[in-house]
Amino acid sequence: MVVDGTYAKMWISEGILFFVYKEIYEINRSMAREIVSQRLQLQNENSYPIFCDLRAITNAQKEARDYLAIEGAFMTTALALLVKDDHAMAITQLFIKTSTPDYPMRVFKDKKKALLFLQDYK
Amino acid sequence: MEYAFNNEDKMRFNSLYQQIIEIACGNFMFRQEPSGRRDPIDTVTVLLNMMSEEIYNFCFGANQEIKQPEIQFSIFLDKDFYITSYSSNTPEILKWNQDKFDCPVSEILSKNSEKALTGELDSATGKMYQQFIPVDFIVENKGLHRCPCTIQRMVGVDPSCAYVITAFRFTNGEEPLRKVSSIRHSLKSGKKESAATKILLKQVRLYILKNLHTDLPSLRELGLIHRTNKTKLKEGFKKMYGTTIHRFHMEKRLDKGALLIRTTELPISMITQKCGFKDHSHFSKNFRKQFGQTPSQYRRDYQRSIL
Repeated sequence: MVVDGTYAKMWISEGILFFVYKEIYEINRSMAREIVSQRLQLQNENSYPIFCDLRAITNAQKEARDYLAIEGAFMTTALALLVKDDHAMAITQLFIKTSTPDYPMRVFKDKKKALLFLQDYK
Repeated sequence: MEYAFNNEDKMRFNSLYQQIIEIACGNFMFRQEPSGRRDPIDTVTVLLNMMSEEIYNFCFGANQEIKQPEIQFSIFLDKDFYITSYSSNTPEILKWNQDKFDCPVSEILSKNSEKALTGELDSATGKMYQQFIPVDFIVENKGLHRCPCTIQRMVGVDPSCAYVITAFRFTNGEEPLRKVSSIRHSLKSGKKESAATKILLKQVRLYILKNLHTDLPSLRELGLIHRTNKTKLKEGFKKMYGTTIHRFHMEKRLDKGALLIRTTELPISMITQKCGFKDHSHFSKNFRKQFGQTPSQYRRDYQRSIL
């Protein structure tokens, strides 16, 4: 079942939650709260490793980044972030370094490598 | 070795130099809009923007909730979003060299902020209260000045005042003179927060957020975990975040509880446990204090609202 949420499409397949953002210029805190809320509704009380496709996102406000990384990370066993180029890679690495999540989080440009990383956390 | 840059690259580098100078001068609200090319200059631009956000948050943003909003300036727009008037201090704050009367608002805002403000107008219809939205105003040399704003639709007989944008800043409400004396006092008494203390308190805050499923250790134990003492922890946290460690832990556990009530079908008894409460009545009593309803009423009302 694919959930077509306000800001992302999401579904669960082979023990991984796929989360593909729609085109957004900048995520703010209220959007972040809704995003987490819709994800949790899909998860039905189970924790999953999450594949998160960020390629359609340009930016996220500091408050939104903090919420998504820590308070909004319930029921996340690991997170693989997919980005489209070196520009997004550098920005996302700053995000990971400054948000210090307590679950494994890595950023990839290659979808296969991202999914491989999540296999250990299924 | 001399690198050959074309004129456009030179201008973009000049903007980066300007941004670094603004940061060095302590202006952490300065932002630069990336060109959209996603090249290394854009990457440095965005990283500098994010660095300013991180520094601002680290130094001033943590206890924003106990700070008072002050109005910086107001800008009035007509129904077509053209600027009709503004408070007299606006040009000085936004470093305008010339008048902006009859200019479209797009001339003074970043593209994203323009979208955010019009989006806010659409979504605010029928709402009694508004939240602050961060808005980037274009200042000289295409730099950006970021500040929390509201936008409101006006009614009345003057068609030149269809909308008003109000820009705010947050202060701790003290008079400037008192501020100087309090700084002197804190310097004398050695109580000024050092960077190391701020990092420590940030880590304690993160520790709490990562332990919402369980009881918090005593302040003494929490101090031992973070290699500090109980008094320093207690006073420092209150000063930095405007709330006590236990109240913060309680609020965040209840926020988590509310989120789980809204988004899952877990029984309340299980949510109680997941939020680190030993018994239902303790959870229910505190939930009611924070949300004005018992957990079951909250779930019923939420379910009814989405039907």
